[in-house]
Amino acid sequence: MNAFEFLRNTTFIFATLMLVKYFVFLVLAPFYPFKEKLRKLKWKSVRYNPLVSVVIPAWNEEVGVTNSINSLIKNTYQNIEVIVVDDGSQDKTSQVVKATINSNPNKNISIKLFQKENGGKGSALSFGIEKANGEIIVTMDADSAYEKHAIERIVEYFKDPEIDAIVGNVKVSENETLVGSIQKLEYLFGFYFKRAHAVMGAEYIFGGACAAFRKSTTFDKYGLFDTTNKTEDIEMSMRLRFFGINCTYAENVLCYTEGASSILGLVNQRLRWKKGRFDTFMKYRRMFFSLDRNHNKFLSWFILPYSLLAEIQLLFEPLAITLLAAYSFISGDYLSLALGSLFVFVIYFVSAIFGENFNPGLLISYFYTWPLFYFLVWIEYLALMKSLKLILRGEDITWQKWDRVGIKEKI
Amino acid sequence: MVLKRIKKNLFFAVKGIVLTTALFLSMIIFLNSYELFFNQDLDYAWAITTTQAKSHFSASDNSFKVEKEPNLSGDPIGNYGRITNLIVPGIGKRLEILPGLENNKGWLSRSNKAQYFISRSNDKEELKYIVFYLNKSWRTIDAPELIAAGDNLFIDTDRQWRYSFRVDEVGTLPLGVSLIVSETKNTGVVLLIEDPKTQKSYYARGEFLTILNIRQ
Repeated sequence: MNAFEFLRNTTFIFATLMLVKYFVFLVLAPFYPFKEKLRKLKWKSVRYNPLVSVVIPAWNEEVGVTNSINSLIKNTYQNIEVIVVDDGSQDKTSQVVKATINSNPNKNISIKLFQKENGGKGSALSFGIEKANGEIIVTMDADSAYEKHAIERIVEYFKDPEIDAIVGNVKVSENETLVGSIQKLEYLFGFYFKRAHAVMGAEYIFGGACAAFRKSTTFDKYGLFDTTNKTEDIEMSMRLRFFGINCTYAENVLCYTEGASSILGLVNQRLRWKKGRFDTFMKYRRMFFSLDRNHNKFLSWFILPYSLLAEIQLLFEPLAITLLAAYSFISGDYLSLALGSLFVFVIYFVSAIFGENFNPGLLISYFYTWPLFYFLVWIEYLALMKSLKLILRGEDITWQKWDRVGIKEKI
Repeated sequence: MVLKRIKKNLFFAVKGIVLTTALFLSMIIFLNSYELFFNQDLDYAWAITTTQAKSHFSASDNSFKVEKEPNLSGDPIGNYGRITNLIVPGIGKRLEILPGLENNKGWLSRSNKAQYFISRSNDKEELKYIVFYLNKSWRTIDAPELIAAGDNLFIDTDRQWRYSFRVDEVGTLPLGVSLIVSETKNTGVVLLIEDPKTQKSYYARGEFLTILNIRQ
């Protein structure tokens, strides 16, 4: 076998493995609504009106925090307490929150502000959970806003006593930048694939922007957030999965969040995610190919190995795509490139047809947006390289400073 | 405020330019792929173009066939597998070969490959010659005038055999003027390189020499 044949065969194996993954996801995802409909029917008659504590950690969030709180005030579910933890902000976060509390027209909802020394997001979340009285704890970012039925729908899921945690459907807020447009699509597809995770019962990331936990079966049993991990949400999710808690994806729980607004911001965000994920994978490595009955087999044998494989593939992916594109344009043989784009089209198509709403606009946008994923691959690659560098040097990442502009959706 | 507005407009402009470029790239890829997949010549794509190569053959030479794996058993040059590459060592070119395509306007040519048709004598079904045709371009052969009499032409097969031919005649033809290939005495090849800009075709006629195994 010569070098070219080796390269060709390796590419073929990786491409086939990835196709298998996406095929499984695309086939399973449309079954998600049926599964959730059955759950709803089963628990429809049950009356459940628990106190829901929404914990909002805030560090220099003066721009967006009011919007976050207001989205909760306007929510249709009223048995809520909102706990804002100002994690040593240097801006006017506390003043802004106090002003929002004072002007709150909805006296049914209690809003509390706690100030503490800066200790990171995990520390702020844990602090907030300790102060919370609710049976259900919802974590929310201070740059996010919930859709008005979100909390009501969260509670619906927790009627099922087997559900210990859920992750909501996060959408990137309207943003005029190109980076914003790419993220919007990426989130759309990423969260669509969470449907497949949910069908397999193998969801393993309860993102901080929109996650909810039954306190008694999660935090009370397995502890609070890891204050040393920069992706405390991934660590918590894996920890809970490690101990066998049940969770699902809640597609109808909508949350709008502010995405990165610059390429550098996006690279840094992805660096944090990757480094955090690697650290967490290392910590819970026993979950890979595990036979432990606490561990979901789809998660252990399919989702987790594939997410690691995706990172390995990412080492070669940008270069491979660049070479393929260069070959296509130089040789005039466009079929391979068209085949790749056809694969992306299938993802657009399935998301547009079987997604939350029929979305013909998404199909049209395919023609001018699919090449943008090439840039996203490079961004992911840069983040991966930086992450590997940090791992090899034994260093950790620093907290990311965002240039907030606030979300634009009217909740 | 003004700076914010400029920044916003700049974002819109950059987004507009990038998305338009992306749409343009999509169109290039899809139209050209459509041509390649359905073997058609569209107006706004260049992966396949219609050539006038057929016009260089007289009616008596028009018994061309597409044979994906030419069965040359019994022919002077034998059967050594599917022909895959045309090599013109004199100008350092190696081209992938595919069977010829035809529509009602003429023979279709891929932008980066050579195509072939096979002509056999009507009575004995013996191989007369193989016509290779292609468009002159930097993707194929950009200097056909450098092919000279006495040069070698090689055709490789997927079974690692190489047919060798010796060029015995080169020249140019205006489009539509016939090349009397039926006068070829021995089994041979005709290489036709069409230059749409100058409206003429370069041709090189070669005679079969030998076949070698190139595995060693």
